[in-house]
Amino acid sequence: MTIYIIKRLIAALIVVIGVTMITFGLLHVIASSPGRAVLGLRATPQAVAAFNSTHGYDKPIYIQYIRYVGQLVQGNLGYSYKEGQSVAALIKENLLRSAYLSGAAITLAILLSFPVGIWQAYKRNSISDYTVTAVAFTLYSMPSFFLGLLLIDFLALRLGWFPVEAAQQTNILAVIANIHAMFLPIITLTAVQMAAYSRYMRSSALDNLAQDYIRLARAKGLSERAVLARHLFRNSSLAMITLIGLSIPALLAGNLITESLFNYPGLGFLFFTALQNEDYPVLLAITLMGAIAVVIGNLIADIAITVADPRVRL
Amino acid sequence: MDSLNGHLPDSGVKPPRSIRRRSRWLAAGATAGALALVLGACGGSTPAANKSPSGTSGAKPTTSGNSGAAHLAGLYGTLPKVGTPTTGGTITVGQLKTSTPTYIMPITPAALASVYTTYDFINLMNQPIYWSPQGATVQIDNSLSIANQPVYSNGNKTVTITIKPWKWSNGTPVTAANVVEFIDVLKAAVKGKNNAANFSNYTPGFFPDNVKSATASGQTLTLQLTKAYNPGYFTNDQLDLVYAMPPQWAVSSAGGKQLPYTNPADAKAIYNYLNSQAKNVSTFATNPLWKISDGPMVLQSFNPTTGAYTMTPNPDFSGPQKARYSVLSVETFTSNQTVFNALQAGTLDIGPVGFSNLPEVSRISGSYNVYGMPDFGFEGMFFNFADKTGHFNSIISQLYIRQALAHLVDQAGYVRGIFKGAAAQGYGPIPSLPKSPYAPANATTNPYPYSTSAAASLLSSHGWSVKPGGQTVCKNAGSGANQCGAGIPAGTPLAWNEDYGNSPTVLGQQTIAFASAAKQVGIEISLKSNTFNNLIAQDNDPSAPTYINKWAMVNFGGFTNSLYPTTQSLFNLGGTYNLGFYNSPTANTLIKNSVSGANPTAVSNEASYLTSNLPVLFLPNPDLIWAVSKKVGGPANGFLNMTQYTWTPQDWYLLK
Repeated sequence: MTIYIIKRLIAALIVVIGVTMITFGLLHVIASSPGRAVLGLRATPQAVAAFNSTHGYDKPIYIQYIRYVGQLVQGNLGYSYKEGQSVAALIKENLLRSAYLSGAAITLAILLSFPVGIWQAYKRNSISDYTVTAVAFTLYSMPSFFLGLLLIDFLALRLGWFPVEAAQQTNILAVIANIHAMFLPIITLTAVQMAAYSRYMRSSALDNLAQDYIRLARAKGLSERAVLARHLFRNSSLAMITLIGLSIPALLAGNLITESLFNYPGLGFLFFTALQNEDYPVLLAITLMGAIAVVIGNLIADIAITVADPRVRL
Repeated sequence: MDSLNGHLPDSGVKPPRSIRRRSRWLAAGATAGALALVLGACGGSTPAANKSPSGTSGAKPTTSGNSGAAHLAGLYGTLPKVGTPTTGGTITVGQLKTSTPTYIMPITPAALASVYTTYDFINLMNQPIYWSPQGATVQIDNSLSIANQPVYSNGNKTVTITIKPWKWSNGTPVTAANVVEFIDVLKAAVKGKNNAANFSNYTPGFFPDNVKSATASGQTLTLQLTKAYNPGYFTNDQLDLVYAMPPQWAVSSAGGKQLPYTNPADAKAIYNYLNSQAKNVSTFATNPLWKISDGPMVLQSFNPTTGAYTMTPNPDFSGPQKARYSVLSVETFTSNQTVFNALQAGTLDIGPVGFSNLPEVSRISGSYNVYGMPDFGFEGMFFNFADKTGHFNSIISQLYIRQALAHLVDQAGYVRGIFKGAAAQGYGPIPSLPKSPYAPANATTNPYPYSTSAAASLLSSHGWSVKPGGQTVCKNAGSGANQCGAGIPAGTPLAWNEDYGNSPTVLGQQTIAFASAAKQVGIEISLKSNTFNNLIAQDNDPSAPTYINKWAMVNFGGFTNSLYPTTQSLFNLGGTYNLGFYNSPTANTLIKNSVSGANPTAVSNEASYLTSNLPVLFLPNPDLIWAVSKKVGGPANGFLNMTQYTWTPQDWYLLK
C-alpha cells in the first residue's frame, strides 16, 4: 500500500509538472509581453520594456518557466497585477468559500442520491422509478448555469423566496450561517450532481440486487430493510467512490459558472474575473490547482476503494 | 491628450480623463460574453431604445418629476427626479468585479489604473483641484473645484492659482503648500529610468516635467512652466491631474516625522512609502493615511476579496453639498447580468445596465429610471498607415480611399440595430454629444453618409475597376487626379485584413457589418477577432515592429478625450500612441497649436480637420447607461456626470 501510494505520488508529480509546462507555454503564447497588457497602451515602449525586464518576461521561455517552477516550490504562486495582491493571498481569501459551496453540494448530493438510487433499483420499472429517472435525466442534461438561471428567475425574482445573490460576507462562518442566501447556489450544484450520482447508484444497485449474496441474505430470513441497508447499500456504494473522487475537481469547474451566476466570491468567481481581466498569473495558479485536485481526487478514490472493498489489493 | 477608453456600459470600467483605456468590457473575454449572451437570452424582449430620427440616442431627453431641468439633447431614457430629499439611509451602488479599485492614492500607477472606478474611488476622498465635468457638459465645474480658475501671465509661462478655503476632514485647511507637496512627490515618483509607469497619466515632457517650479504662499500657488502653453490646454489637460496632499502624508514610515517634500530625496522616500501603502488593499479602510479626505466621502470598510466598500459622508467637506444619506455602499458583481438580477430584485439603488440587458429593461422600468449618454470621446477603426502588405500603406494614404470607406459605415444602422438606440453617431475626434465648448461645425452632420454608390463612385473616379461582390482592382495606376495614387501598381486589389476585439460583441457586429458593405464595392476585408490585450500588445503597439506589416485595420474600441480634446500623442507624428503611424503635416501643426499656441479655438480647428481627413474610420459613440431607483433623487448633474465616468454621490439622496 505504502509503495503504491509513493508510486502514485511520483506519477502525480509528473502529471502536475506536465500540466505546468503546458499551461505556462499556452499562456506565454497568448501573452508574450505582459508589460503592455498590464501597463496599458499609453505606456511608453521604454516603460513596457522596463516592466518586462524587471519581472523577467524578456527572458527566454524556458528561463521564465524554471523561475516559475522555482517560485512554485517556495509556495509563491505569483502576483496579480490586476488585483494588486499575491495570487496566494487571493486564493487564500476565496478558497474556504468555494470549499464550502462544493462541499455542501457534494455532501447533499451524496446524501440524497444514494437512497434515491437504491430505492429506484428496488422499485425498478415502476411509475415512480420512471418519474425519478425522467427528472434525473432532465437535471443531468441541464447545464448548471441554465438550472441556476431558472432557479433565480422563479424562486428569487418571481416568487421572491430567496435572494438573487449568494452570501456576500467575508467570514466563512457568516456565510455558512446565511443558509437563506446560499440555498440556491448549493441546490444548483447539488441537483446536477445528484442526478448523475443517483443514476450510477441505481445502476450499481441493480447489478448487486441480482447477486447471489442478496438472495442468500433474503433466504436467511433477513428483513428487506436489512438486506437493502446492510448488504445492498454498502456494496453498491463501492462503484460510487471513484465517481465521487473524480467529481471533486469537476466541482471547481462547476463553481466557476455557479459562483459567477450567483455573484458568490469564491475561486470560481476569481477565475471568472481573471478570465475577464486576462490576469494570467491567477489563471495559471487556479489551473494548476485544478490539475492537482484531479490528481488528488484520483488518488483518494483509489485508496478509498481499497479500504472499502477488501477484495481490492494494491 | 486622449486615451484609450471604455465607453460602453457593458464594461462599467473606464479610466478617467487622462488615461482612459478602452474599458475592460473589451477584456471581458469570450467566456463573459458567452455567459452574458446566454443570460440575456433568458430575459424578456421589450424594445427600450428612445431613438431620435438622426440616429443619435435619446428622443425623450427628460428629467422626470419635479426636476425643472431642461430637456437635454442626446439623453437616452429618463433622468431621476430632483424630488424632496430625506436625510439618513443607505444608497447601494453596483460595480463590476473587473472594475473594482485596487489603489487609493492619486499618483496611480499605470498597472493599476486600467479602470475608471479607481479614480472615482480616489476622487471621493481626494479631489483633483479642478473638477470636471459639469453634468454631461464637458467643462470644469467651478463650484466643485478646490481652486479658482488659473490666471496666466508671463506669456503663458506662469500660472497663478488661488486655493479656496477648503478643509481636510481633520479640520486643517487645504493650502497651496498641499498642492506643491503633491507636485513634488509626483516629480519624485516619475523621475529616473523605468519609473514612467509610476503615474498612469504621465507622458515624458508633460506634467509634471513641464512645471519648472511650484511655490506656495498661503492659498496662492505659482507654477513656472518650462515653456508657453495654450491656457485652454494647460488648464483642462494638465491641471486636471493636480491634487492636494495632506501634510500627514509627507512621511516615509508609519508614525514617522513629516519630511520636507521639497527635497527630492525626501519626496522620493515619501512616494515609496505612500505607494507601498496605497496598493495594500487589505488596509484601505484601516490605514490612518486614507482617513484624511478633502472629498465628499470617507472610507469606512473595504473588502479586499470582492472590492466592495462602504463610505460615509465627510462632515467637513467644503464643497457646495454634503451627502445627506448615512452610508454609501458599493457592492461588487460578476457581470452586468448579475447587476441586472439585483436591479430586478430591487436590492440595488443604482447600477450600470449593459447593452445585453437593454431588450429587457422594461422589467425594471417600473422601479428604476434608466438613462444614458455617450461619454466624451470617439470610437473608430484604426488604419495602419505603415503596413506595406499588398501596398496597403499607399492605398490608405489616399484620402479618397478613406472617404470611400467612411461611406461604407452605416452609422445610423449601427445605432439602431446594434446599439438599440443607445449610442450617438460620431464623425470625428470631438463628438457633438455630450456638449462641449470645442465641437467643430462638422461634428454635427456626417460628412460621409452611408452610401455604397458614393463609395463605388469615388473608387471608379480614381482609376479602380469596381466589381460589386467581386474583387475591385486598380486599373489606372499613377498619381494623377483620376488615377489610383502613388505607390499603387495596376492590378492591385483592394484587399486587407482587420482585427477586432472579441468582446463586447458590438465590436464584432460593427466590423462584420462594415466588411459586408465593403464587399458590395469589391473590397475584400479578412476579419479576425482577438483579445483586447493582444490587440494592444501586438497589433497596435508601435514598440512591436514585428507586427507592423501584419495588420491593416483594427477595431478595439475607442478613446476618451480629456477635458481639452486635443489628439496630441494620438495623431501627431511620433505621438506616444499614434497606433497607426498617421502622419499629416497639417494635423501636426494644428495639434501643436492646440497645445502650445494661444488661439482658444485651436483644438476645434484641429478636430475639424481630423473629422474630414479621417485618421481613423469614426464609429458611433455608445451610451453609458445607468439605472437609478425611483426612491433616489438628486439634481440632474449628479446623475448626468455618471455618463461621463465621474461620480458626485454627495448630490444623491433618498426621496421622501
